[in-house]
Amino acid sequence: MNYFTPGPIIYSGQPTIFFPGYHKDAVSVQLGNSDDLGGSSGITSYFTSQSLSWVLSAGEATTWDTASLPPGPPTGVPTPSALFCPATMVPAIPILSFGGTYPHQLLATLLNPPPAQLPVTLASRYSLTCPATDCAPTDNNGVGLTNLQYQNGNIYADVRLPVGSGTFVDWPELIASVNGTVVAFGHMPILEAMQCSASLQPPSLSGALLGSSYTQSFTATQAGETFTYSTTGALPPGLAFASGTLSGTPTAGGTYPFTVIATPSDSSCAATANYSLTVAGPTCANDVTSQVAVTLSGLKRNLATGQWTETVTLYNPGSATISGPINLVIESLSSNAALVNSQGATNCFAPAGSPYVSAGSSIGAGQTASVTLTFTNSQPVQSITFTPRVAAGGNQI
Amino acid sequence: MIRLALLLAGAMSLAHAATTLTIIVNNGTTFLDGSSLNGGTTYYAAFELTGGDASDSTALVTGIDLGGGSAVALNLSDTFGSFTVGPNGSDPAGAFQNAGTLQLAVTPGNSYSQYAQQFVAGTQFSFTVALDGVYAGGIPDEFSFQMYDSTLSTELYEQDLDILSTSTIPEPGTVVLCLLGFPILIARAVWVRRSRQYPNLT
Repeated sequence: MNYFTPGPIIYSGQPTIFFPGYHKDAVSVQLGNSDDLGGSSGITSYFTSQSLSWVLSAGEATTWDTASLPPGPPTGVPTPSALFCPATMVPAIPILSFGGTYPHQLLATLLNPPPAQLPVTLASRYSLTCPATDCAPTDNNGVGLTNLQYQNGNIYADVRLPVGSGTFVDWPELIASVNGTVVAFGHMPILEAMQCSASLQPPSLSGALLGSSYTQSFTATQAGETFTYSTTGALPPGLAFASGTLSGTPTAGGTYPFTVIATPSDSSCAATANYSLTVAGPTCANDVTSQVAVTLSGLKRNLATGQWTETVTLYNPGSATISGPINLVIESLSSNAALVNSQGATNCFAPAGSPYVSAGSSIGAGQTASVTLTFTNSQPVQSITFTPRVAAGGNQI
Repeated sequence: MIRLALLLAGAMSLAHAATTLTIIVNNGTTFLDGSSLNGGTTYYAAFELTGGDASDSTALVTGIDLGGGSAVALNLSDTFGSFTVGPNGSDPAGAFQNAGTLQLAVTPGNSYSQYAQQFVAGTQFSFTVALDGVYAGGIPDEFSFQMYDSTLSTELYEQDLDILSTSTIPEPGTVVLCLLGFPILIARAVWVRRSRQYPNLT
């Protein structure tokens, strides 16, 4: 057993590797041979005494027990993750181990002791420094750490915890290499307690109408995260869920409970929400023509377009608002004319097949609503005639 | 009595109060495209009378003033329906001839009259229109004055006048006519009746 006060570690013939941030006074070095791999201590080293050397910073000192050194370099190149990240590793044991030196490769692993609970906030970035020319961050167990990046010598990890989780430990890993050769990698345990904040929108659904097109998108948001969406439960017949959107034309009435699940790319922070969608049957608009004073302007023809226009004004002389939607139905339109700006044809509002135009959401007491009608007239010598009727309310005309 | 009724109806019809309006377009008028009347530019002036209800209507356009501009010869393809140009109906300048007049008419059976003619603008374009007709309910008859560019592709100006007069009260002149006419008609009716009762056998 050798106790080592780490500092700037210089490997002969290799770049200087810094692992700042670990606790010097808690680090120990155990050197063993390949038989230690996977042992309960999790301490593994490969090196030859002839090629391994280091220079301590001022004030740092160590002793070195060469008796435990293996007789020579192992054959082959050990895999860093297999060598230095055994699953049985106990984070509480501070470990510093150095890999062996091979003719053109030096492997070194620094396993830092877990610091006191890191002040990590949701989706915050945790960093450690890698001065090597290229660093490849990885995440050992893939829980809560996403978006590992190397930027300007620092390794960043977005930290995120599953909903409802308490404390957990993760092991972001730094692999430093020079010119494609791995020279070092290190672990930085993170101990933290966080919760996901993602929630699904909307919180509830408005009703759908039987036989009418329906579209509703669901979204979950959390910084730096991309979600995929799925559902459980029975969707209304005629509707389908794809890419976070429920859409289609309901073909059966009723109430349909289902759950939407938004799963982030690292699967660590899924959001779910329960919904209930009611598909209602159609209700027909009421004929409120007798409650409205209808004024028609004269017709005129635009010589540039060849179309005829006139304005219809609807006045509510009553003391109560006429609730909408308000639609002006053009009944018995003369055969020489066609309504260009028709927004549909009556279905349940008799007589069926008459074109109509929206006249707004409602007409307040004493208020007016105006509608401009645009026609084509195949026989200009014949006047355009029709009977205006006013439809209000309902969800079908 | 039938003749009496016809005469009375005719007198009242002739005496409907006409609505008169003067329309002036000059370089202070902002067109629909934001421009204004530009002297020397060719425009279309269009007069329309469109029938909507079950009554006849006329629009008499007089006092046409091109403000120093000039008429472009009338193209009959730019007209439609019933119209009359005066005082010289064969003048190529059409309604834009000196002291020219234009009368448009619509009936329930001929519901659209249109007169459009090009002119080269001067400082203004103005006219007076007298509308005559009775609103019979439904869609009213409407007079519309519009201006377009020289290719009839862009509408620049529009003034619409609905004929909404519902008055059937004779004007004072009509009352005088009626006061004069009623005794005559009554006397004639009595004379005819007596003539039938007491034929002249001589």
